[in-house]
This record gives sequence, C-alpha cells and structure tokens, in this order.
Amino acid sequence: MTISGMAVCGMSTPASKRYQRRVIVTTTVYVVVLLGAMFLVRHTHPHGWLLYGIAVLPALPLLGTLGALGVYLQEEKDEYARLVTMRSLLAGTATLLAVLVVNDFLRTISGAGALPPFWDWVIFFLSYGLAQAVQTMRNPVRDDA
Amino acid sequence: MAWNWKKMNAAKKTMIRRLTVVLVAYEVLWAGAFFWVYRAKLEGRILWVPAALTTLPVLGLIWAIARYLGEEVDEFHRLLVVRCLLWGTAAVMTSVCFHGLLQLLGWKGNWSAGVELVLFFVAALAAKLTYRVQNRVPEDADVVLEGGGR
Repeated sequence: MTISGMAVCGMSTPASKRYQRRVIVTTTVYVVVLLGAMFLVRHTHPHGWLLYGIAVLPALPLLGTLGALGVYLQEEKDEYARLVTMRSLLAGTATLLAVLVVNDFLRTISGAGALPPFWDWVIFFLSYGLAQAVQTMRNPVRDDA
Repeated sequence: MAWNWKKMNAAKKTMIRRLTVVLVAYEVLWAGAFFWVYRAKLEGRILWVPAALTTLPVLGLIWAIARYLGEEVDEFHRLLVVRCLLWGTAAVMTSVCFHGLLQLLGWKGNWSAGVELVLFFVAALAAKLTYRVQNRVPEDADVVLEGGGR
C-alpha cells in the first residue's frame, strides 16, 4: 500500500480518491448551505417550523460526508485500508459519545450549558483523523503496494 | 440471519454478552454517580469525576464492537455492523448539528440530556432491521453461520 504525503489521513487507493472528491464536494456544499442559512435567518427572521427547517439544511451535506464514508467502505478493495477506516470510525464515535455523555451528566447535575455549536463535529473529525494518522504512522509495511 | 442464539456464530454471541455487561454497567454507573453526587453534595470540578465514570461503559461499548470486528470472520456481517455504527453516528451528528445551528440562530432552548445516546441506539437498531429486511439471501447467511456456530 502506497501512503502519499497527501493522504496522511487516508489511503491513496482509487476508492479513497473518489471518497476524497466526494468529501470535498459535501464540505463545499455544507459551507455554502450554512452561510446561506445564516444569511436567510438574519434577513428574513423566520421562526417556528420554518426556522427548524432551515436549521436542518446544513446537516444534510454533513450526512452526505458520512454517506460517502459508507460508500467508501463498500468500494474499498484494500482490506487494510478498510480496517484503518473502521478503526478510525470507532475512535471518532467513541470520542464523540464520551464527550456527549460527560456533557449530558454535567447538564443534568449542575445545569451546565450544552457544548458550543459544531464542536461535536470538530471532535468527531479530529479524533477520526488523528486515529487514521496514528495508524498510518504505525504501519510497518509502507510500500507493499 | 435470524435472531436465533443457536445459529449465531461465536463472535456475535461474545459481542452480545459483552454488550449486555456494558449496558448493565452503564445503568449501575449512571445511577451510582447520581446517588454519589446527591449524597455527597458534590460541586465544582469534582463533578467531572462521576461524569467521567459514566463514559467508561460507552467506551466499553465501542471496545466491544471493535473486538467483534476483529473476531468476526464473516465479511458481510462485519460490514453490516460498521454500517449500523455509521447510521448511529449520523443520527447523533444530525441531532447535534440541528441543535447547534438552532442555538446559533438565536434559539434559547436546550436538548434533554441523553437524547444523542438514545438516537444513536435507535438509528443503529433501525439500520440493523432495515438491512435484515433488505438482505436477499438470509438463508445463505444462516447456512454459513450454522457451520461456524457453537
């Protein structure tokens, strides 16, 4: 398996390249939709169900990112690359759930506030990327492709 | 892929046993942490200790899934579990994103504690049931499992 400098947080197989392209698209769409939603709310001041509807919109491209991850796991033929992704997904989910459980406990007991908006996404993707980078660095067979 | 204990392979049985222990530990630790906080009237930074304790079963849950993925020999079943995990994570992410954006847009409310964890399990379970319905060759999977079952 070749590990290029570009793919510190991923593998450079055809499936991973397609995955990276999909992630770039969904992230771009996310930024556009988020800015659009904020612009819309600031200028039209919606409330009630319309506000809820607008708040859901930016979640859709982020779901697309996870969907791309699912498609990648299906398309990837390299068993090791799939294993690394699965482990990273587990690490990201574990970190996210652990942070949410601590926050839930503190909110229930001491009335602490919720995490700032979008921190959960940052926590998930940071731990996901970190897990992938650590596994890549620990990979003893870097050039067996 | 029926819910038949005898037909399940060893890896799946072990995972179910581990998940049962993890769930019981979660209930015990959650109740114990609450009892401790109210009994000892904990305040301030020390509250992080019982809060951190309740994360242990959640980490145990992920550890149990990770062990299962390592022990499972059937590639199809492994992929199913990963897909369910993805659906669970997606549900948590959607809830968190929705909540975060509402607050960013000026909403003053707050999600109830534990909503995300419940969403995770509901979405993962729903995905599991959906994949079971979608599986066009369930008998094929059972035949494989019968061979590997204990």
